[in-house]
Amino acid sequence: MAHLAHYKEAHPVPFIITHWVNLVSMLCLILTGFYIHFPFVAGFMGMARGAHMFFAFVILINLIVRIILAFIVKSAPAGGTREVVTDYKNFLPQKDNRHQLGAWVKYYLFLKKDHPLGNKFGVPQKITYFAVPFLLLLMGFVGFCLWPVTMFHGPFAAFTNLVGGLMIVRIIHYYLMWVFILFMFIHVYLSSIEGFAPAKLMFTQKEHGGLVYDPEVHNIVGEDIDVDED
Amino acid sequence: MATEVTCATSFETMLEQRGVTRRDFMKLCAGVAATLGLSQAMVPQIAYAIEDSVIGKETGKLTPVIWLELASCTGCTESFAQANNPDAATVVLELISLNYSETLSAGAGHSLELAKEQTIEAGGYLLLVEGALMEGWDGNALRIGWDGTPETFEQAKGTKIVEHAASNAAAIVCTGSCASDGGWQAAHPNPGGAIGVQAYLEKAKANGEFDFDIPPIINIPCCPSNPEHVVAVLVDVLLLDTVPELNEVNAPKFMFSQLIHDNCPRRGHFENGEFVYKFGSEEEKKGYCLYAVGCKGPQTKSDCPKVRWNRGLNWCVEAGAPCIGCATINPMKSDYNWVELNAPFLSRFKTLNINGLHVDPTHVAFGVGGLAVAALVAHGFGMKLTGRTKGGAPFETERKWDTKHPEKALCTADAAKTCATAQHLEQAAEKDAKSSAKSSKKSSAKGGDK
Ligand code: HEM
Ligand code: SF4
Ligand code: SF4
Repeated sequence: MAHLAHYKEAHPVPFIITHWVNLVSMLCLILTGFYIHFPFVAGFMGMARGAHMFFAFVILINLIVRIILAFIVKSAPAGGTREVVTDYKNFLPQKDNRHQLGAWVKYYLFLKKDHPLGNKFGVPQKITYFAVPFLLLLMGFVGFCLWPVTMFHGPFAAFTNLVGGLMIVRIIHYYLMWVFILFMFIHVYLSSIEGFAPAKLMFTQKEHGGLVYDPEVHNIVGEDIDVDED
Repeated sequence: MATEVTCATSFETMLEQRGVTRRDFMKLCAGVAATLGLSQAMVPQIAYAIEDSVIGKETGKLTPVIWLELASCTGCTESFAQANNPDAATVVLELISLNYSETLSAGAGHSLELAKEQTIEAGGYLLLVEGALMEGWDGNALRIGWDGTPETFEQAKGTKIVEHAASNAAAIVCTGSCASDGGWQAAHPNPGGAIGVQAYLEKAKANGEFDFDIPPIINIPCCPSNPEHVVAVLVDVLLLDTVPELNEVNAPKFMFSQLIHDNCPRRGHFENGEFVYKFGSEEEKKGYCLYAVGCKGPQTKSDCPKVRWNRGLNWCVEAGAPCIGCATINPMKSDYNWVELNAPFLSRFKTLNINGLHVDPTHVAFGVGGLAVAALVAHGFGMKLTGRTKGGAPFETERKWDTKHPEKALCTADAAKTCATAQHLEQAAEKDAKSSAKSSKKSSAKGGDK
């Protein structure tokens, strides 16, 4: 039994919901985005554009809701504990992750044999999750530069002019999409390669026994086999 | 009263000489009002202003105009003057005193150059520029009218000619995308160093090459500039005495601040997802949307669908050609001329120029995406080989950094084993083992039972 126990305190219900909304919206945005870029089958342009803008608003509103909730809802700072802290703290540097960037990189490159101790999010993961909201806001901004309703106004028109025209804005928007696609590839891969327990917890709150981590001691202190194994 | 009658008559005579009926003339005025975004109620006022101004010719009050032609194909002049088929638009030529134009002036040579010099000296003229300025080879990529003497060597550079003509102008009108930002002559791989009037003058001024104030600049994009636009701007500037409201690229806002796509007659097909994928196809015959064959209408700001071309006869997309975005200008960035931004014309994206290598952005994206997937798959095999796919590798008992810095360690392995929770957990496990009854859902983590 190598991994930490998976308790639902790590991902409280509100975040399960926002995560689902993110997943569905992102997939729809990517699909409709590819379609708008080039309508590979005839017949859906009006729908694709409508859906693209609908999910753009959904994902942006969801982002704002998620950020507000981060300051209200409490969640566990680590796997293997039911202790909770205000959620936003888990996206910022924490004691438990101190000096661990190198260790994580080495672990993923097979240069370190044992799994780094640490909080719910490892260091590279934390950096990535911290960057995603900014990327999404940037994506939204660039998207609004392409939306005829907003493109002629203030900062959107200024940005388009700055980068040299709508063609360049389109290419930026397209490449940013690929940043999200690559993020999703890596995100799905890393969260599932060591077993599907983390994914089950994230999508359905299904708990799973394992090692117990004490955030106050900052280390693994034992094992919990009470939670159903499967 | 008597004079008015004579004047009207002379105006009518002028129209007649040009083969233009009064009806055509009123249509022109209506077109000007529409292009400028003025109410149709302004039409009589425009007609009156034009008549009055043309009559002004007799009293010698016409605005002098210098029409410079630099690196250009003369397309702007051609489409404006349509010399072999004069029509109402050329009436505008009567509004001005065209003191210098390489194509339209009757005179030539020294006498014409002299007329230009005198006009510049007198000031208050309108400077029309057609074609790009060429900075290449120290400005020698384009030289005009050098008399062969060393003293005038510098002045014969196209760039210097514009600089000199700008020095005393009341306003500068750049006709066409070339004069606005270098246009297609600035496109790769032309080494001539094409640049637009605005960028050139601002740069030269910043370099201290002159110190006069740069006159207001109005850019009229498109390749060539649409005569309807030129006429409307000239009427605006000359007669209504206003500079039209300009957008962020110094082009008249009313003409160049709406998407072609938003006024396109094929737009219904776009929304239905009915596209021409191949020329010569059934879809093309049906007049479907040209998006899939590279139409740049969704990203090009111009009123082409409303003003149309060839005196309102037709325009690109309606005639069956995807818009190639010739109305796109970036006056301060000649590298971002419309050709560089929109070629290849039949493709949805422009190509990226990576060190002279032209590649489609989508190829780069799929290439990088493919590499990433391959890397992840390889990594996955590594994880499998190292036995990490069932819960990951075993945890370190102490952070690596902590083992090297014991004095600053967060928690040593020993501390973890002997802490209160660890003890509590151990006891619980023992108790469980003793009663050998499987506990109900009970967590033993520090938060207590639940
Ligand atoms: C977050 C807010 C977003 C907004 C406001 C937005 C808006 C837009 C708009 C207005 C267009 C142009 C549609 C058209 O020309 O009809 C567009 C195109 C596109 N969008 Fe988004 N979008 C957003 C997010 C995303 C995301 C998250 C993705 C994918 C990860 C994405 C992928 C694309 C792609 C690939 C295109 C086609 C670009 C082209 O080739 O022209 N968008 N988006
Ligand atoms: S033909 Fe071009 S401008 Fe017209 S609807 Fe299609 S994409 Fe838009
Ligand atoms: S429709 Fe497009 S290509 Fe045709 S003149 Fe207008 S901007 Fe240029």
